[in-house]
Amino acid sequence: MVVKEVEVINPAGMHTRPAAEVVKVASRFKSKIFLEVDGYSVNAKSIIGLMTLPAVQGTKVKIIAEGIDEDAATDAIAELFNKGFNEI
Amino acid sequence: MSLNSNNGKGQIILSGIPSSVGYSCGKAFVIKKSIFNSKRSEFAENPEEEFERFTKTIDEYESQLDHYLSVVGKEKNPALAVLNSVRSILQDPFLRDEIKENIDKGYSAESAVEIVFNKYKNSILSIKNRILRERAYEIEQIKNQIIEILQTKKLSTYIPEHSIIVANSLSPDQVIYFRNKQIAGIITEVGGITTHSSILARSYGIPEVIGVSNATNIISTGDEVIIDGYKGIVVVNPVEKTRESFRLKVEKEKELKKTLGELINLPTQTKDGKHIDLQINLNTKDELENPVIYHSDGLGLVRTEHLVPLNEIWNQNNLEDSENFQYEIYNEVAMKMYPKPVVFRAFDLGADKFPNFFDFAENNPMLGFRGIRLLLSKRGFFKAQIKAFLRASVHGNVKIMLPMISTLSEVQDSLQLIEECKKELDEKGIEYHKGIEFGVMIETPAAALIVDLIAPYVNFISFGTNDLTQYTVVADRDNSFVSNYFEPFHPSVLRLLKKATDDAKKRKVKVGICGELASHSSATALLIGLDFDSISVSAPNFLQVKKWISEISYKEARKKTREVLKKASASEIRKYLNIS
Repeated sequence: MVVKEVEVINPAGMHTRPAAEVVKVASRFKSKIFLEVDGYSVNAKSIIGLMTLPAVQGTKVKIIAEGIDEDAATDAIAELFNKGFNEI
Repeated sequence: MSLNSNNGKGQIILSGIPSSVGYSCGKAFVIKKSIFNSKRSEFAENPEEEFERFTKTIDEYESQLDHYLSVVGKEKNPALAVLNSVRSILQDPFLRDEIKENIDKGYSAESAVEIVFNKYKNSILSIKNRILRERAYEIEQIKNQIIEILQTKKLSTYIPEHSIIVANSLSPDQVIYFRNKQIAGIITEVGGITTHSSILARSYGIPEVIGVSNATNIISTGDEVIIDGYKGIVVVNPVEKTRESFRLKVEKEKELKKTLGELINLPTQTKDGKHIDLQINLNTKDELENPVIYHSDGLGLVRTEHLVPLNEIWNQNNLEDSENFQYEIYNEVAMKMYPKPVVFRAFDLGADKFPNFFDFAENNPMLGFRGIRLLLSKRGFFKAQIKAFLRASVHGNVKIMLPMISTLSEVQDSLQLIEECKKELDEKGIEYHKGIEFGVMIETPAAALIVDLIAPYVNFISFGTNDLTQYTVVADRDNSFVSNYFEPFHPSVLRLLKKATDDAKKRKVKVGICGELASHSSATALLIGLDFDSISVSAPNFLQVKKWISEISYKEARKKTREVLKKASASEIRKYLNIS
């Protein structure tokens, strides 16, 4: 299992469009991937789940992946966050 | 029959939240919420059949989205992103699995959809942040749409053109559908200004008033309705006098739009494609009725000392009332501009502006107790304003800017004061945008020369060229004896701009200008050449400056600026730039 902490940096936070991006990237991997905020975790491959995540700008989000491609999966999703979902 | 019933056909005035500006009138078309009768069909006998009904419904919904996608075109527009996000929710495999599980338990497709969507809706509603909570409306909308298709097999009924839609709330795809039906306006009972449907209404220029409670009961299909999307007012069955005054407003708005022409809808960029944020300086609330504002890239400077009626501030009983009074005003501006940025500058008082409010006299007020100096000395007064800004920032599009900075400690002290304000709001459980951006005016040489020291504390800087010029060349801008000394093209002013801009850019601080220097074509080239990220001008100059920017190439502007910076005098610079 791999855990990586990232921060939401785009001003609008993780609204629907970035959530869709996360799903798109997460779905490319075989691993189970979860995003966690303050102990509340959701499946990164489910957009409706991600929409319930309270991730505003500045929120710390844990990416948790488990499976054969867990390293690549965490890196790819961390990159999305670090790029501010291409919104900045 | 409800007391509000409209059978008497008298004029009724309703108020709500202005969500998309513009005036409009037309016949109402009321969409009653189709209430799902869960008792009648809570359970179903054949799970396989139910699941097939569900998958067919999703297919139908998706094919309707496809249809909308083909209508909105492939260009980058907000509708495209919205439709795609609705689609990705429909395709969410986990959502489908959960609905299937519930159907397998014996629930009808409608019940299963209700159960699962409500679960997600409720967990969104438990989020503290108000803006994120608005996503619950979107989930609710998609759910209603699915249930409607499940029950009637078609998305929307026949709607006559130029109708004013009255609904509990609308889904983004409904807004797109209605737009193609040429509707004249939208009135909803619930909703938030940050929801997709509101954003779309704004981007399509459909006037919209939201939060009009009980609208679908008070208004009947066929009623004549007037919408004022600037003020958030709805008039049902207007009397002749109302109609007449409204006609005048519509005429005026039409004329304004005509003079704006085609340029208004194009992005602001140079001939070779460099984008510049072209923003507007706002002084008074009346200016919010100028449509040009909504075609800009936001408000680069809101002069709060003009926006807020200061007399009334002094008349408030206490600081809390003053804060509430200001909050209402700032919030209205921020909501009307959403999602575009609004930079509120803290009161720039003293000097030539309202000196009589303060009980002191200065021999030389321009070099005296003004701007940030005055604010920091009246902390309670300053904090009331900052808290009002913070509260209005909840939607995420507000920025705070400070006037007349001349030393680093002013920036640090102000930041500390802002932190205090945030803490006080936290204690009261009042929400604000945690990532709110903060910047300062650079309008003294003292500040321009220490931008490298200020940079770590701010997100942006903005030049005020009038003051920067008068303090650099030592010529009172209002004194006719020295008016020929008041020279914004003096090499020293331009060198200050250059140094400060470079120092800011090196530290990834955004640079803007909100002074009058921008309102000359050659000066515009200079500002582009200096690499400003944003230019903020008064509304009447907006289109002209936009045109100038579109006629300049960034490459040429860079070259011109390099040449200008080599010149020895203002007259040489003016000659080179062809400025008389």
